[in-house]
Amino acid sequence: MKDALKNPRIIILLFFVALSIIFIAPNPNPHGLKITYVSKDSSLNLQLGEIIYFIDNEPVTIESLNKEYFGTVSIQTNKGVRFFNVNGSLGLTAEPLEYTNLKFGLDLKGGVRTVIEPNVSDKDTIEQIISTLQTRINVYGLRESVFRPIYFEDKGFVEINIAGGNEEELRALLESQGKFEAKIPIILQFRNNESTLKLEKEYKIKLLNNSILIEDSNYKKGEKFFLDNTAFEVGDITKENINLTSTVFTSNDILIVFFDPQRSRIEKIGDIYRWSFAVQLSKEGAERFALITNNLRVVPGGYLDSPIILYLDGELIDSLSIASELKGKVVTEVSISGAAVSMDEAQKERSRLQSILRSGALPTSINIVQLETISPNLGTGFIRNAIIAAIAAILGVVTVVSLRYRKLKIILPMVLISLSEVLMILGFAALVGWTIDLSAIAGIIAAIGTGIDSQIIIIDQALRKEDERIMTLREKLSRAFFVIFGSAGTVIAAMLPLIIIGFGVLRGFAIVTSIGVLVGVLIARPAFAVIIEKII
Amino acid sequence: MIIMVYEIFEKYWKYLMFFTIILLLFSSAVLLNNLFTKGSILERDVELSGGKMINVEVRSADIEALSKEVPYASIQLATGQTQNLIVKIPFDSNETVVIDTIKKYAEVVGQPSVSSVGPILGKIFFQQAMFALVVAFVMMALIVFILFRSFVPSLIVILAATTDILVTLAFLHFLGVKLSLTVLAAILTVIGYSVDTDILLTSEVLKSNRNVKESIDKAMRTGLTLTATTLAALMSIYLFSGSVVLQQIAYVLTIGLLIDLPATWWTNAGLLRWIDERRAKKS
Repeated sequence: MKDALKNPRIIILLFFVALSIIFIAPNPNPHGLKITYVSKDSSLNLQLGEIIYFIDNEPVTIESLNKEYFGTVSIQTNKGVRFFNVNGSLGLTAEPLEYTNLKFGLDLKGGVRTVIEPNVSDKDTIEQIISTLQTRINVYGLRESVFRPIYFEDKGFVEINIAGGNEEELRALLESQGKFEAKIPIILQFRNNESTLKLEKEYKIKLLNNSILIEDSNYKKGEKFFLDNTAFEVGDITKENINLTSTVFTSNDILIVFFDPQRSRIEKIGDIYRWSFAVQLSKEGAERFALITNNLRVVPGGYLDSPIILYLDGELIDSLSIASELKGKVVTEVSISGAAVSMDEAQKERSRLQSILRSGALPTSINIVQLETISPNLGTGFIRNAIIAAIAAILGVVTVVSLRYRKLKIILPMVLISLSEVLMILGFAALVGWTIDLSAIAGIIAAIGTGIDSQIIIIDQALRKEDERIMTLREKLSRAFFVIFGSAGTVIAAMLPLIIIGFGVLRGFAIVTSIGVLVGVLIARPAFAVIIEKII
Repeated sequence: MIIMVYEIFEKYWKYLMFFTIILLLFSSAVLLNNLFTKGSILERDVELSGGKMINVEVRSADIEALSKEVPYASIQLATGQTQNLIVKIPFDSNETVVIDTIKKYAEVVGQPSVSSVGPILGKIFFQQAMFALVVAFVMMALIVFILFRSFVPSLIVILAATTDILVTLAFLHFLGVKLSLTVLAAILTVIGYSVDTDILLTSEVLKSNRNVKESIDKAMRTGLTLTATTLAALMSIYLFSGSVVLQQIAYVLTIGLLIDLPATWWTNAGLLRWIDERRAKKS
């Protein structure tokens, strides 16, 4: 037995098992919150993955993390204690530490899995879509999301797994292209069939039959033109006046979306909940606003004669009257507001708009081609079942092997080696951050099955007594390894195409099976052969 | 029992050899017929053709009444420690209506899970699935050739694997199982698993100094243990996991492994023996 412990193959096995346990890191008493998202507006110099233990010397909770702070705040993380000057929210999203480093898939803990297809699908576009949607989902505050681009022939897709959230929320969040536009309609009066549009310089507008003439170009109702970098659309043309709708801000003009309590609010007015938040706009946009509002007139009540109308993907979201003192001014902050019948809905609606505006517009529109919601209670029941099934499977295998060999000293190492393989596969999963889902469990089962088979082949070869003169034990084992490597090779060969092309579910299965078989053949089986050599 | 099986083989091996070959020919005809009439060797499930699937945990369910109410749905009940009801409907049907109907006829626990696959994505999944199946088979064949570096024995092993895959698919057709990504994963695992016993047998026969009869006997002892342990594990998964995915994999693998028994120990072993006899006669 002492000999066996000195054998390099056994040492390698024990080393990897120990390493796996460290990677999986069973954490019986987790405390603290792990940072999953740091808002760009956050004044805190903290990093993703840092673990917060205390805020102002109080153990951190989700509530205390989302509270507002003013002045100096002490935050103790796994990297030490630091002091920050905060004015409002911390701008962090975090989740409680898990018992282990293993991540469980959506089918085990609930969530939404979806595949989207962009209308343009080159690699750059898809990468941009992923980054935009990731920001949206993080800002919206969903716990965990995994994005994966998939290319198939000339098509590109993005597979998205999100823990938590429901179908309706996600559709609203993902399907919106996020094209933001703020428009101001200008009504110009004609005098002697002529009018003037004042921008960087003055443009003469001539009224023709059902059309207008600007800068030698003729435009009818519904047509668009650009003047001084501003887009205009021709509206109704009458003998008295003309309606020109200018686009003053677009998605590109949104620099900052404010989340702090001064600029992002919900107020109860009567029976409704009115939400609002401010956005900061680019200098170019603000200058455009100044030029356009110069063309508006002051009406009684202290407002200009046209409102500024906000659209998201062509749908009206808000229409704001412009105070008369803003005429011709460079305005860089606009407040967007709306109303809902409940606090919860007001918060969701505000969060949705904030996250869409914050993330910017998608480079192209997208379609949701697959959507799957997985109920979390299906998951908890499943984990219980999986454990029962695993125990039953072990008992079944042990029964068959016991009938065949009737020796505990053979059966015990078999079971132990198989358990060590499960540990190593899970350790690998923890190391590379795989999610353990149903298909991964199926993969582990397939790999362990191959492992048991290989062990039986080793035992049978080693147990042949009659050959002792012709063949040494070593030679017998090397023949066993020929078969073992051969069958491992065929299993991996069968899984390879799935790893290369597969979509989510099958790919996980194929990767886990292949890794499991490799771990078995390279680490567990050589060690098992040593043990059998010593026993027999 | 092993000895009894072996005695039968001893007596009738020249005829038993043809048992799986006939099965293989028959299965090929069934699958080809499917290919020409349905465009796929096995009828496609919602994942591969587009559609919606509702999965919900239930305490009890009146499946007969439910299928009368929604005749266009395919309904399945997976039992284990918990019961799950799986209802598949076409892509353009309304799942909320169906869920309400389910709630009428079944005692539902918690929220149902709904998954939908668009018809175009379904088609892509299907093309990928077929591609994976063909490539996996070719890769497996390549490994077998590299392993034995001998044409005829390699070919015999590949014949056994082909039998396993095609006959399993034909069985699934008669059992009414549709081709889904899960079934595909299981079929690919059958490819990997079923050649194990053939590699074991063939390497024993080719590399051993003993005569072919003894080698087959040795290999069969080990091989039947392999199959028995795997079947024991699959049975537990089938009975206790309560997960449709795992149950379906276990179901398909069980069929594959059972078919592999005659494919390996009658056909593959028989052919090896027949080659050996011919060689003996020549010399």
